[in-house]
Amino acid sequence: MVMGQPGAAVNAWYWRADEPTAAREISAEGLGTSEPLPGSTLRANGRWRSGRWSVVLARSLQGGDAARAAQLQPGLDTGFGVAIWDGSNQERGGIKAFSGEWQPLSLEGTGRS
Amino acid sequence: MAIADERQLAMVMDLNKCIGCQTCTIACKRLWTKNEGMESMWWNTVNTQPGAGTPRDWEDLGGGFRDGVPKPGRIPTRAEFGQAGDYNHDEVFFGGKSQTHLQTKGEQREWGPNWDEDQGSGEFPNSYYFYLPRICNHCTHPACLEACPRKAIEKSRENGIVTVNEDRCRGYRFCMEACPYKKIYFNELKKVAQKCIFCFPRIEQGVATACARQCPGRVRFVGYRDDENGPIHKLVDQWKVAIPLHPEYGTEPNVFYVPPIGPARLGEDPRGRPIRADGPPHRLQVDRHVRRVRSGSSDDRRPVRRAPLARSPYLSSNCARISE
Ligand code: SF4
Ligand code: SF4
Repeated sequence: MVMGQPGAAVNAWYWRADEPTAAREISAEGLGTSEPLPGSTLRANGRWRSGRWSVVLARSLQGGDAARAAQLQPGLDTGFGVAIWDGSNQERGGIKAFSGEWQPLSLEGTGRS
Repeated sequence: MAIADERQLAMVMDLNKCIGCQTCTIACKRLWTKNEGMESMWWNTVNTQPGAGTPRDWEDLGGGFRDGVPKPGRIPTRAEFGQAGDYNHDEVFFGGKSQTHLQTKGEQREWGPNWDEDQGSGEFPNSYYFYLPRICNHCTHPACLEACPRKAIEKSRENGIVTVNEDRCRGYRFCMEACPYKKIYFNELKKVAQKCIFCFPRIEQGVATACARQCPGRVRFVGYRDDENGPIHKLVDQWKVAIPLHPEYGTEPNVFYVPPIGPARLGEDPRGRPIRADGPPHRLQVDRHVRRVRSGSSDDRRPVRRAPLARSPYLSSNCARISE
């Protein structure tokens, strides 16, 4: 699981604890190429309670630039991964914990025709 | 030798002329780093040597290359940079009281960018120090540039100036680990790395850097390395009196220094008055920083000009932090 490759963009939804209500949607076509996605509708909110963060990231299923933003659809399978940076451990950029393999993601329901 | 479309600007600083006035530091501060988020930035620093420098003990923080292999480094802490203090200016200048003096507000600070100014080393009457001004070296082989996974650091082909492209920078700070001179700062507000830009907007107008133009000691020479009629080529390549700081860091720095000639060592006559001492004529002590600087080469075409420097005490002195 790398940061995409030329012609095969990955779309990332990014949240950080020092700005808990700011959502950042980015796309990348390889290591070191991430760029903010124009026209993103992603929203975020996070709450620190009992020693842990709860975070919600939300956007419409069909989002922004169709070539670079993941277009989600009920009934259509796709893959996702999770990456976490522990900033106090100097983690940033490629230094991160991540989920390894792509995880299957399928939304229930029937796709629009 | 640089090829036609690839040139390198460089600076020579004559340490014998530096009076430690910090005019260069303030000229830079006023011009480039006076905005919010840049309070702790000093793209130009002048530190007393021997001393810890800034950031504190930067020579122990790693980075650069050894034998061509990147050497791990670490990001200086905020405490090592020495955070900007908040002063009681209002009270002193507008408070209407006569007995107040300038001091920092809040907690007592324990370190700052110029904390050990003028302390130096040695015992009276043989105490000694000199000033070492530093900027980014706009290296020919910049470790900062190589360390950036986003290719946010650029080196100009026209003049060799190394800059951070803030639109590409994501604040990862790998450059701060990699720079062995610890000359990159982090803007906490913009969340990007920032550093000396060699006053490139002035350079483009044919004007030297602010630190060089403002210097009352006329310490600094600015020019292209390959300009055979210019001061850099003469001082560095022809007369060989200016040398790089820590060339063993492997980045090929483009700031060069004329090392200081130390004052004569003094003894005491029976009445305790200083007299010329027996033994080595100079004060600067050999310590762990000592390395011999270039003492001349056989192809010397200007022996007369070089002779005084070649004989001078800095050759085996503490100042050889500036080393070969
Ligand atoms: S001194 Fe440091 S910041 Fe400046 S070019 Fe060299 S490695 Fe980069
Ligand atoms: S302005 Fe010149 S003399 Fe003053 S500290 Fe800077 S380099 Fe030294």
